[in-house]
Amino acid sequence: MLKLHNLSKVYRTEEVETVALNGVDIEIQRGDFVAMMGPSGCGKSTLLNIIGMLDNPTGGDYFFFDENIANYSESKLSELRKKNIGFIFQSFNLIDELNVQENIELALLYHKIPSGERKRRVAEVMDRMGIAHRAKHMPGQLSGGQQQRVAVARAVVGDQPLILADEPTGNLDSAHGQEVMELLQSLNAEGTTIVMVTHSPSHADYAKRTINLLDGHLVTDNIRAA
Amino acid sequence: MYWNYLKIALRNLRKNKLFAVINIIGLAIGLTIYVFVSLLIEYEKNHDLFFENNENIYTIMSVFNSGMDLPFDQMNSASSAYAPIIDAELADVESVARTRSAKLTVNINGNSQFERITFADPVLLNIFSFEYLYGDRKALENPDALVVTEAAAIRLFGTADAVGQVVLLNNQESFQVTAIIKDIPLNSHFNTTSGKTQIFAPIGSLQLFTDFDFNGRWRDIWNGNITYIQLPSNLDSDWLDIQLESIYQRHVSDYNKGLVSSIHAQPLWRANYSNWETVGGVSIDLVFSVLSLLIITIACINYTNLAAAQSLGRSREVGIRKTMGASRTELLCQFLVESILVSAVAMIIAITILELIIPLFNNATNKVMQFKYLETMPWLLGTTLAAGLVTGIYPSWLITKVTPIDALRDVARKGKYSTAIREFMIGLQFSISTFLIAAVVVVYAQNEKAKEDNHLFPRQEVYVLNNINSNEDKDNVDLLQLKLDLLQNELNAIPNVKKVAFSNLVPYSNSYPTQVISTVAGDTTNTVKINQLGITPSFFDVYDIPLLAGRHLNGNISNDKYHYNVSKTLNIILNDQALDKLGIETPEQAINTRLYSTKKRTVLREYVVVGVASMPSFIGVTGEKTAWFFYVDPTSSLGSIRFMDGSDAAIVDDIKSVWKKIFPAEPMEGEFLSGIFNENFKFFVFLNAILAGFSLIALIIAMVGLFGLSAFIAAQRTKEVGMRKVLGASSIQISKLLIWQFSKPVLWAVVSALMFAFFASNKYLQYFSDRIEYSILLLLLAGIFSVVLGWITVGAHAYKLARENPIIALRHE
Repeated sequence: MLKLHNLSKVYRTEEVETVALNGVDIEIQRGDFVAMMGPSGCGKSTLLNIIGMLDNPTGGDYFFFDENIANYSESKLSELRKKNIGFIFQSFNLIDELNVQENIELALLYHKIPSGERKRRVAEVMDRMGIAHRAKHMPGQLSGGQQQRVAVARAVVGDQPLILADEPTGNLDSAHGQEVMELLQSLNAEGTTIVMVTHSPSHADYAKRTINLLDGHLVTDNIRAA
Repeated sequence: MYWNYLKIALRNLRKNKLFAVINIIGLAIGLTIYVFVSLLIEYEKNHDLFFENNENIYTIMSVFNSGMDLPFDQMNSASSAYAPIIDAELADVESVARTRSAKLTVNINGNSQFERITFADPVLLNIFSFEYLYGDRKALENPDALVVTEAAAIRLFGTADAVGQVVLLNNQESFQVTAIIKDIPLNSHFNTTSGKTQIFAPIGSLQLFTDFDFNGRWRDIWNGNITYIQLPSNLDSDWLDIQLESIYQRHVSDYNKGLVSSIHAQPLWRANYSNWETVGGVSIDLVFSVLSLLIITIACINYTNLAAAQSLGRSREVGIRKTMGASRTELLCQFLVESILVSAVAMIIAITILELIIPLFNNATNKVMQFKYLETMPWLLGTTLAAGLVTGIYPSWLITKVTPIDALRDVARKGKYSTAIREFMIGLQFSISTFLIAAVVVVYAQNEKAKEDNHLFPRQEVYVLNNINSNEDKDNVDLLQLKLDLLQNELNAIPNVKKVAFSNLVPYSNSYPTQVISTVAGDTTNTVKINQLGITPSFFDVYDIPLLAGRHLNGNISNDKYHYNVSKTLNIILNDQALDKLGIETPEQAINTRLYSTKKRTVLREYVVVGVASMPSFIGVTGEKTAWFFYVDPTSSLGSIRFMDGSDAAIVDDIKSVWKKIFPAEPMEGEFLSGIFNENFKFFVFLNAILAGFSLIALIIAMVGLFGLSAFIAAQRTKEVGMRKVLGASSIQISKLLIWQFSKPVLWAVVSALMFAFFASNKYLQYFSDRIEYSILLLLLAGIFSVVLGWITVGAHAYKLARENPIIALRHE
C-alpha cells in the first residue's frame, strides 16, 4: 500500500538543525495493523504525519500506491488524503462548535456526497460506535472516551482504506483505552489498514506488527505471529 | 455545505459575543455612514425627476471668466438675452423660458409683506408639469396674472381656493390670481436652501417694477435667474451644447465675453446639484464622500483586524478540516461566507438605524430623502457583499495558508504571524481618526478666531434695516435724501440709539460692486480693482472706522455726493488696503490723489481722494482683506442703527414705529448684524459640525477596535505574562509591556496623521486672512489626545491581565 524509502525529515531554524527522521525504510501492506513505538522525540509522530500527508519529508521517497508523492503540493496531497486516509488524534480534535453528528459528518463534507447519503452513513457509524444517543451533544458535554469514539467514528465514516492514529489512547483511562483498541482491532479485521503511534506496550499488542524508532532511526520491525 | 458554514459562523459569533458585538457594531456604524452619505448625494443628484419629460429639460449654465476674480467658477444661470435668440433661431427647441426673481411687497387688503416672486415666461407652465388645483397651463398669459402654490395661497389668503383674488404688488400694480398649483415637492431645484418658489408672475410685467428689458440683458446672471430649454426627445444635450456655443460666439459682445467665457446645457437634474457646487467654495459632496470613505475604511480595517486576530484562534478547526480533506478554496469560501454573514447583519442594523435617522434628518433639513428599498436593493446587496469580501479576504487568507500540521499544533496563534500587517492596520485606523480629530480642532480654533476677529464691527450693537426707499424713484435723488434724513432724525430720537447711517452694503455680505480704476485718465491697461461702498457720512461712526488722514465726507459738499449719470467728479475715502493696491505709501500722500474709472459707456468719472480710513476687512466672514473706496450715495437702501449695548430687545419695536411713520405702505424688514454674521458663518460652523460628527464616529470605531484587539492580544499573551510573573515581574512592568506593543503602530500613525492634518488644515486656513498661529500646537495636542486615549484603552486590559494570579495565566492553553 505504501512504501517509504530512505525517508528523512530535518527541521531547520536559524542556528539549530534537528534531524527528526533519518533514512527510514518501511513498507506497509494493505490490511496491516502497525504500532509505532519509541521514546518521546524519536520521530514517530513526525513519521505518522508524513505518512498522513500532513507534512512533507525533506528527503527520500514516499510511494503511495506506487506513486511517489514525496514532493506533492498541499492541494494534491489534500486530494489523496481525502480519499484514502482517516485520522484519530490523541487530543480528539473535535470542533467545539459542532455537535457529535456534525463532527462526524465533517469527514464526508468535502467528498461531494449528497446530504441524505451523508446523514445515513453518519447514523450508521454512530450506531456502530454506540454513540447514537449522543448525536446532538456538543464535544464539551462528552467524556474523553466518548469523544474518542466520536473521533474514531469520524475517521471511519469516509471508508478510507488507511487509518492513522496518533496515540489514540493517550488521553484516556485504561478501560476507555482498551475499548478504543478493541474498536481499532475490529476495524482492522474488516480490512482497514491501521498505523498507530502509542506509548503503551499493552496497546501495541493489539497490532499485528510493531515498529520501534529511536532518534529518527528504525530500530526493530517485528511482525507478530498470528 | 454552505449550511454547515453558516451554522459554524453563527455558533462562533455566539461563542465570542464580545468580538461579535464589536465587529458588527463597528461595521454597522461604518455602513450606516457610508449608505447615508451615498443616499444623500444620490438624493441631491436626483431632484426634479417627478416632472414629466424631465429628461428633455435643460438649463443654461454660465462659466465665468477666471479673470473676473469671482468667488465661483460657474452658475446655473444665464443672461436673459439668450431666450429670445434661441426662440428665434432654434426651431427644433420646443420651448424656452426664463425666470427672474424679485422681492416685492405684496399688499392684500391693506396688509403688506415682502414676498419673493418668480417672474417667468408664460411658457414655463408648459415646460413643467405642475399639478393644478385651480386654473391651467395658460394661467400666466395675462400680463397681470399670478400663479400661487397651495401653501402660499393658504398663507396669503387663508384658503387654497384663491383664484380671482387681487393683490397690489410694490404698492402700485394690481395682479390677479389665475391658478393655484400643488406645492412643488421639496426635492426640486425650485425649493433651495435660499428659499421656496411659491408665486409666479409673467416676466413681461417685471418691466413695471424694474428696468427689465423684455429682449433680455446680457449681464443679469444671478442665482435663480434661470433659462430653461425643453427639447424634443430626439435631441440631446450634446446637440444643445453645440447650438448654445454657436449662439454665444455670434451674439455675445467681447465685453460680455469677458464676464462669461462659455455657456453649456445642463440636464435638469443637475440644476439642484449645481447649487451645491456654487455655494461655499468647497464642494460639499466631495467632503462628504471623502469623510464617509474614511469612516468605512476605518470600519473595514477594524473588522479585518479583529477577524484576523480572532480567526487565528480557530486554526485547530482549520487543521481538522484540512485533514478531513478540505481544500484551501473550500476553506476560503467558508471564512468569506462568515464575513459576508457578519456584513449582512451589520447592514441590517445599518438599515434599521437609517430608518430612524432619515426622518429626523429630513425634519431638521427640510428634505424629503427616502430609502427606496426596491431601487437600492442591488446596490445594498452589492455593498454588503463587497464589505464582506473586502473585510474577510485577509483573515481568510491568513488562517487558511497554514499547513494542516501547523494548524493542528496551533503554531499560528503562538507565532509572530503577520504582526507587521496587523500593526499597519491598527496604525492606519488610528491615523485616520487622529487626522479627523486634528482637523476638527484646527477648524474649531480658526472658526473661533474668525468670530473673534469679526468683533471689529460692533455686531451685537447694530440693527440693519433693509429695503429703504424701495418704492421711490431712484433718479429723484433729492427725494431719496429727504427720506433718509427724515428716517435718520426719527431714529436718532429713539433713546437708546447712538448713531444711524445708510449704505448699500453692510459688513459680512458676500456680493459687492467693483470699480476698475486707473491713476491716469483714459488708461485702460494699468488698472486696479477696488470695491465700492456707498454710504452716508455717519457710517464711520456707526462702525467705529477710524480716519487715518484727510477729512470725513460731508453730504453738503456737492462733489461729496454721488448723482447717478450726473456726477463727473466724486470725492472719496480710500481704505488702507486700497493704498497698498495703488502703491501709495502713506495715508497723507493719498490725499488729493486723482483716480479714474475705466468703465466704458459711462461718462468718464474722476475720483478725488479726500480721506483715508482703516477698514481691513468688510466682506464675508473669513476676514478677507480687500481694497475699498467710500462715497456718499443717497440711493443707499440699507440702514445701520447703532444702539446701546443690551437694549436690543426693545429697540426693534421703536424702530418699527418710526418706520411706520415714514413708510406707512411698506412692511419693515430688518435684522441684527449678528444675525447676518451667523447666517454667513453657517457654512463654516456646519463644516465643523460635520467634521466633529465624523471624527467622533471614527474615534469610537477605532477605540472599540483597539479595545477588542488588545483584549485578544492580551489573551494570547496570557501564558507569557504568567511566566513573567512567576519570574518576578510586577504588574506595572507587565502593563508597560503590553502597552508598548500597541504604542509602536500608534506612534507612527499619529505622526503621519499629523503630517496630513498639517497640510489639510493649512488648506482650510487659507480661507481666512487672519489665521491662527498655533495650529501646530493644536495638532500636537490632538496627537497626544489620541495616543493617551489609545494607551488607556489598551492599559485597561493590560492592567487586568497583569493583576491576575500567575497560575491562572499559566494554566491557560
